[in-house]
Amino acid sequence: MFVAASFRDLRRAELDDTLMVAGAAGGAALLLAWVLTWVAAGQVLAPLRAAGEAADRGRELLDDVGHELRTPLTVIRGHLELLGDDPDERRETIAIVSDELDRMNRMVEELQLLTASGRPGFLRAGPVEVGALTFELLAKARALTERTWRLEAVGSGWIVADHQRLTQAVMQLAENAVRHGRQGSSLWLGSAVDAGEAHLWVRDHGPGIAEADRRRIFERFARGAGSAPPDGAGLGLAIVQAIAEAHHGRVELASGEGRGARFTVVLPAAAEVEAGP
Amino acid sequence: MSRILIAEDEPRVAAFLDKGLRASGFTTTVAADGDAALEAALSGQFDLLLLDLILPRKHGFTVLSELRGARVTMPVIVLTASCGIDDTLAGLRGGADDYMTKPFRFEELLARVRLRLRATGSPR
Repeated sequence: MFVAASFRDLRRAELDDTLMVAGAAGGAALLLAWVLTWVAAGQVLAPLRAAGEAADRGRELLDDVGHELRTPLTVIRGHLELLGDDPDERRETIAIVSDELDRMNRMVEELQLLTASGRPGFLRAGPVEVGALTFELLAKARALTERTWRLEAVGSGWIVADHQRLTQAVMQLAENAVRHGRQGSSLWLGSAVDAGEAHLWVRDHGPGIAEADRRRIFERFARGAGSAPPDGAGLGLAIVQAIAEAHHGRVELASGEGRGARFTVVLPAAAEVEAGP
Repeated sequence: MSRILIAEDEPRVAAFLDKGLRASGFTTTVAADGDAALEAALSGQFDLLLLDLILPRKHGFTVLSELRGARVTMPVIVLTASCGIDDTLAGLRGGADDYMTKPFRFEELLARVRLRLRATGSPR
């Protein structure tokens, strides 16, 4: 009787131990399976998700381009439809059509540049001295317009940059400043190198940019709520941002309504750059 | 002679609309932003509004909504570069009488303008 009871207790203890071990093993297996599924799903789904996002971006781009091309097409079609026999009117219409075709061509070129900015080989980077670049940019800005350009500061130091692309970015900011700065007011250009970063900026005394527009204006084809239609394709600031980001940098905007705007291209100073883009 | 208000911020689009409508016997006025368009439309001096949607200062849909909110019943033809069905429906639900997608044929626009004016009994 005693032996039988002891044997039963022993079997129950073994059974409990077995169940506990089996439960723990099952839990561990489930956890392992869950982790493996998580990793596998991530590896499989992440590229699919990235491909889906890229396709969405492509569709958005096509929508934007279609939308923006409709305006010059409307101008061309409308002016041609109403073209009369007057020689002066004909000359004027030809000039308008030609200008609109140039605008469409600029848009296509700028879109190609934006598309290329995410690809390897976009930049031909080399060492650039910030002070020398600043004087060069100032001379180019002065050649843009009759307006008075003033030098605000000159930084000293090196960056690794594509000289041509960076010049293109700052000249785009200079053109924007000319367009939006208050008539008769001075425009400012400057640079600084500080805390491992090089800053190149353009400042105007225009109407400034409303808080609500400050992020949006960097989007392609965007413009401020109160502004007139853009002279260009509406891609200027998107291009400036793309060039800055290709250099591992960024564009900063300081502005207030009625207080002008200062756009700054911020790039890593040479000591911070481990490898060229 | 019907009076047409053209709310359009692209000067060259406004220019050919203005030229073509005047040549067709209408009196025209151009408003280059949403605020100016709404103010002019509320003045009661116009028989029809050609309304671009993407306007500085005030979006075309807002102009339309405020106009209808003020019980102004003048016909409104929306002109837009967007060809999405959502925008079309939003425009028509918002009180637009017609909708044209850019680029449009001027002759077609003219026909629609005349149709809307005939429907409201305005002089042509």
